[in-house]
Amino acid sequence: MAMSKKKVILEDGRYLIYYTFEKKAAAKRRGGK
Amino acid sequence: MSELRWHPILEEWVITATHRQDRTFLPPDDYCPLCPTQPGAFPTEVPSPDYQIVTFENKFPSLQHPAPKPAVQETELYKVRPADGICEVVCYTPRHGGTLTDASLEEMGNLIEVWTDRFRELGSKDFIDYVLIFENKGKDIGVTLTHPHGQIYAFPFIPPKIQRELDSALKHRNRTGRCLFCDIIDEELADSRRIVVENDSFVAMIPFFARYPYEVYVLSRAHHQSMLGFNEKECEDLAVILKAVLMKYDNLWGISQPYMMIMHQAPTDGRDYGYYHYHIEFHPPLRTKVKLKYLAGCESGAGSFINDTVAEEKAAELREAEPKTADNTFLREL
Repeated sequence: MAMSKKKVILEDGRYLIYYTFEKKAAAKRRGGK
Repeated sequence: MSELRWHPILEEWVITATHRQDRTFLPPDDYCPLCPTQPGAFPTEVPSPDYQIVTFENKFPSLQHPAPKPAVQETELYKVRPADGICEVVCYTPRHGGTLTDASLEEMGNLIEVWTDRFRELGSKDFIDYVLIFENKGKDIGVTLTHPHGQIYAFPFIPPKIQRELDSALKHRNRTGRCLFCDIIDEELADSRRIVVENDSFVAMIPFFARYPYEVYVLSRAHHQSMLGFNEKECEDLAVILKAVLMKYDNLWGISQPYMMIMHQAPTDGRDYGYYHYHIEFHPPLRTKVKLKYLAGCESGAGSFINDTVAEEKAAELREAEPKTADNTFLREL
């Protein structure tokens, strides 16, 4: 799986990170490793 | 109010965090703060309408950065420090029902990647000396939210139990030239009665010295200090053995087994801990399907555990619970 993450800052100043995963074959098709 | 107060008798820090008294306690399922926020519904902790895995700073942290100034003045005897650190919540899945046992192997693998990433990022901060990844599961443990999730505490000091393990491991290496944990694996494999399940990269056992009846240790066969050293095969094998152990726990009595799952890794304070060894500890509080093992006078008051069972018998029970292997074949039947 290829992992990517997106960090956002919540209204009260705390951070939150979304982790998303896609199959390696799909990542490769999109130009990843 | 949040601060570290020094316990001069035990020589350890106590975290005071009075604001945690107000944290959300067992809300109704449709008001779960860890679910994704649905359009038109009440806003949860996670603004997105969907996610795979999400981590965020705990709203009621025991440690925070920057930490507030201590509310009390220290004395020569009673030292005080700011409770500087980070507490994160890790939501394993957007699905409210279920537990980590229900995670597919792919989802378990994803979670292992997230744990590794959080360990690396939090451990790289100069005010963090130790990163503790753990999960409290079940009302018997005292969870306040039932949504499948774990926590991460990034400490400004090495917690006392970890320090004790480090001291023992260093003493053993200085005496024998070997790793204490590698020796434990060798001795348990040679005896074999306390092995619960194993695969190419990990061994799960109720060790000789278990303090809880069903206390499982998962140790890496290779001498790693943290997840940062795992290769792809080891990550896959960890996902499989974790899934196997969790299923065994649930299949033992046909209930969702409560537990504390704690990952022990080397400190991140920049020193060399080559003598330490990665492992996961499970501390389930039940000693039978309906009886809790209480940490009563002897355990809480003297720090000396009484285990009413022997590891050899309890390991045999877990070994017989499905799945009986951790080589991946059991997953074909799911």
